[in-house]
Amino acid sequence: MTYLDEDSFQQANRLIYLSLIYSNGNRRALSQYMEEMTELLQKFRSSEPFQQLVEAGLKAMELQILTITSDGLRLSARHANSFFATTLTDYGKMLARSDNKAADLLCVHCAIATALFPNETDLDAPVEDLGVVMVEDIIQVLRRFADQEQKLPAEDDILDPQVRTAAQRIRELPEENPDSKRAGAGASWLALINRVLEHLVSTDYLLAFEDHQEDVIEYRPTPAYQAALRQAAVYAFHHFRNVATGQDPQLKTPGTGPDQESESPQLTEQPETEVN
Amino acid sequence: MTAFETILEEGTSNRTLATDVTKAVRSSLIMRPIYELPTRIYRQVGQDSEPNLLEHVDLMWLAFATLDIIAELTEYQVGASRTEILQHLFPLAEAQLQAQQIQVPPSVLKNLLGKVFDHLVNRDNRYLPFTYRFYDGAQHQFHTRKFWLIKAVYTGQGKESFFALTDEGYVAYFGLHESSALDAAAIGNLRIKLLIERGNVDDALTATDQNRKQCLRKSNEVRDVRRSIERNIQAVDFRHINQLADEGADQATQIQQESGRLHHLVLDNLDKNSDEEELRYKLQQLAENLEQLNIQQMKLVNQLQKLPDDFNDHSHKLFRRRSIGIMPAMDTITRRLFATPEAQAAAVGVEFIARFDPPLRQPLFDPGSMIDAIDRALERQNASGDIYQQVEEEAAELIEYFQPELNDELMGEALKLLFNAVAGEPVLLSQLLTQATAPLTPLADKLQPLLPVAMAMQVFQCVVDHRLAEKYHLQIEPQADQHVRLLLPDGRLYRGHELLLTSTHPSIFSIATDQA
Repeated sequence: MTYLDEDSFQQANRLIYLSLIYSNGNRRALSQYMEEMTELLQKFRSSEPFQQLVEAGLKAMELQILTITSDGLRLSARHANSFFATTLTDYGKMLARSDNKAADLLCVHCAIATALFPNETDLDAPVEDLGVVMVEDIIQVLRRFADQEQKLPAEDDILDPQVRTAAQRIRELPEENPDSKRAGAGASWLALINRVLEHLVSTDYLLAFEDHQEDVIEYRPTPAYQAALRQAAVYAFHHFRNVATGQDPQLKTPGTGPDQESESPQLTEQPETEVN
Repeated sequence: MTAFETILEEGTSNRTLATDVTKAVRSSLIMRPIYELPTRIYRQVGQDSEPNLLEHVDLMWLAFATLDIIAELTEYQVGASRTEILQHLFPLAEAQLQAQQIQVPPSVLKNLLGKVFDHLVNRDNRYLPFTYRFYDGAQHQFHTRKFWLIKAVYTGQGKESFFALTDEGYVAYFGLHESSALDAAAIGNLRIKLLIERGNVDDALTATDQNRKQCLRKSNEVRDVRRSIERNIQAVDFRHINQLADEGADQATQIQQESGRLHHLVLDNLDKNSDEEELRYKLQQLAENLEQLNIQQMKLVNQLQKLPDDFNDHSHKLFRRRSIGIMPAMDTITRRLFATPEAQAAAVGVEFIARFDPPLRQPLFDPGSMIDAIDRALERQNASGDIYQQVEEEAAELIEYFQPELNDELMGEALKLLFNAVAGEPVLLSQLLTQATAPLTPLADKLQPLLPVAMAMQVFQCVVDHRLAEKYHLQIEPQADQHVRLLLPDGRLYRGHELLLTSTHPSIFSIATDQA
């Protein structure tokens, strides 16, 4: 089917709508629409005009496709000012805590990702081979990186020594706060990690397995997490390179995402240039 | 590394009064939390609880005892829990009180010890590091030093939090300026030697004990490095490993030889002082300690020397197939990320989270839920009927409600006319409308022009809703090819199909059949 029939417009919107439900990890809500979703996906894959229609719709809603799976389109916001973007307030609402700092959460996000995908090849490996991660591993990664920036060689040191770094923020937090149950107890590594993990599990990015014998939760990644991270990691790295070389288009013009996200959903397959 | 720290590292090359003083100030900041302890606790205790207890307890002694207990407990586990530490501390504090023959209930003493501990972990300040400003004379600037003495470590075991000494904690307790574990062990050996030569066996015993702790500190470090080799070899710098192995092993071997020599020295002394029973016992203990230390250090040497082998064993992971660089490795990203300034990292973080996390379920404006909410609010108000609210009279404008032009009276009139017209025989709509323009019984001036419109409306309703038509016993049939165009008296134009209206009322029907 390479043409658009009169239902296409409605179907495109329907696909976006169902994909939003799917991306949120709400399996129960989606189960009754599975058949419809499969049909829509078939149309999406086979018909190019339909694909363009969906993409136009996504663009208008400031969404982007992370990956296409057999169950739907994985979506995320195009940039932080988008209507659908997850914000710090959402983290706050989820755990009734409002003391989130983006820099800390970013560090924890990256630490989790590093614990799961230490190597570049892991981002493309099948998720079953990646094993599990536990809170302890993430703490180890944070411990390693918290001191790393001090050890950077001088020529690699991009910063004025007076400027506080993200690592310093992390260094100045305790690993665990025994009073964490009390209101206003303040953040700790453990609290931040749990907050991020909880959100990742609720959005279907990680699967949590509880081993009842040892009372430890093991987290396994899903392909969705891998795909999302692949996009986000590229963004983060390009951004840091910009910081390092002194060009910072992102900060000067907030709201305009870099070009790499604005194209087709096959982007994930397109080779990015190697960055060192 | 800040410029200030480089000065510290450079050591003696460009020493001035300013650098020396600054160095001393910076080092002594470590003791400040302990020195502040009495004042802080005085402030906390206030007037209500036992006021005299604080004057009889040596708080600083307890603070250092806490550090020692933690150092002791963390030798065989990752951290010590609060209850554990306080349990060990309690008899020590009790002994202090007994020395002065003071009796207090144990709960009061426990409370005080808890406060000592809470201060040392900076509980009031949410377990964040102690922060002190100090003046850097060489740079004419103020710096802040942040550090913990006792830090909560995550172990993932048990329900309680565990605490361990930080490097600063060790420094504070051992009263040394900052030095590595092996340096400290070497200094310890030297002290033991001097102390034995002077015949001060008691102090030598404690020195061996401290040396043992330093050894453990080093082997903990080695254990951490080994773990990271196993987990992610890319993150480990081979030069660092080699350095650890070379220097560490050399140094450790030296220390070990030194302790061996000390061991012999002690055994010699033991032979000489064969007559004094107490001294012999102590010397024997010292010899035993030194032997243990020796074994421990030997293990440490082995561990250090095995590190490069461990690295080699896992080095195949370094040469794993890597695809043609589609993505930067997470490790590189994370390293960069931790080195970015706070503000930029926050900006990236907001963007990262938005792009990475799935889109949000946004609550849209829903009038239904709004009405529900209002209803609920009103119901709640009604339920609590006992609250009588005085209604204040105000000069308000009356609300104007919509008044339909085709009111009930007019519609009733039209229906009456319709029935009259249809009762006899089938009638066409155009006839009906003409009748309505000039009825037999004229209506009020205002209603008159609207009557045909009301009539048309009645017919229309019957066409749309067949139940209504059944109720009025009307049958309406559109006449093919016949159209009506009629100018009504109020200026409107009626346009549409011609309709034939027939009454299906039983009485009419029976007349019709009779006629047939």
